[in-house]
Amino acid sequence: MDEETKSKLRAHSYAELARRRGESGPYEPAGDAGEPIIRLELAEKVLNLCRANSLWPMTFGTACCAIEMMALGMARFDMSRYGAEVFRPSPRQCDLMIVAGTINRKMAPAVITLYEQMAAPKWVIAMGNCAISGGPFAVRENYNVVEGVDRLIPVDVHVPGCPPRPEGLLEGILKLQEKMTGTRFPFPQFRPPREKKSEK
Amino acid sequence: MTQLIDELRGLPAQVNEVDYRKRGYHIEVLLSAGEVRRFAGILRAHRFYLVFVSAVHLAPAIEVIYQFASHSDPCRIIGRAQVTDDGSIPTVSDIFAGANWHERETMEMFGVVFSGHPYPEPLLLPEDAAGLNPLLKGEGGVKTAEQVRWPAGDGT
Repeated sequence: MDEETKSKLRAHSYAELARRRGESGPYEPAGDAGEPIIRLELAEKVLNLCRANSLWPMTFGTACCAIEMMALGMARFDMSRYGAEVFRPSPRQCDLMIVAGTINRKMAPAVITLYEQMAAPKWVIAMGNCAISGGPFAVRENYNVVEGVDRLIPVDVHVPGCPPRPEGLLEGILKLQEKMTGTRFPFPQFRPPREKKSEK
Repeated sequence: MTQLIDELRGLPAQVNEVDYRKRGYHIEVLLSAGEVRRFAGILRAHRFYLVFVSAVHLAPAIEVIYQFASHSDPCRIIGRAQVTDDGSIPTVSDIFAGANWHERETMEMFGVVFSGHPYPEPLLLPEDAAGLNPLLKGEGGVKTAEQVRWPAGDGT
């Protein structure tokens, strides 16, 4: 494995990368296609908070990882607690692509098209070993499986596992929220309740 | 059934009745590439249906395999034919329409040319993967028919 791939596997999110480097604040992509022309810092902050708490993933399961993704959507794990439950079948209505499964060479052009059709700003979670590195298909005899979806489109969060547990994907979504806003659990409801000052 | 076997012997072809419990089919037919279409025609006339078309990479030539079965008789027939020197074999997709996609798949996986096929394009592999032929064996991996076949007399 080359060094670049290794570092990609190590860093679960850019926020974590930034934290390791000793920086603070949200990761801001340079020259991203989704970057607005006029930057308003405060408005941007508020918008990012809103975006992070209302991720609309695309219904994009390509293999068995999709079963775990569905489990996360249902009542037991319930990703709607973090605002990410509105699965949309159209990329035009989505801002999060969860690549849940193997991507093969015939699929690759379609993945790029779907990513380009998504509304900016947009994020990608590579779920499972197939989407990260080709997983069990990354062997010498492999002729058809793309070894890592980050060879096609930029990936924000890698969720390892074969398949990952629903909690794993949930953690990936939380990491993504952290990347978008700079804080873990950006939604106010997750803050511990303030102690009431005793009125005297 | 005996009439069918006689017709198949008259192709000409080598017809072996084998033990279904060991082989998974009742009749094995070894033909040459030129008789494939007449073989399919006979089975069509006897109301057989096509189960699959595939191939095995053997030395000296790739062997194309046809399996047929019937709803009226409990009978499965397997036909084996070696491709000709230029790697081609006649198509049966006009006799059994279901062979169309099977032949396209065999074409892309093994590089077998089905001459007369109406739409010889890849079925599963991407369009730019022409000539990939992923199911062909590598150097040194190719065996002869005798090495992979059941030993003669066993299971027949």
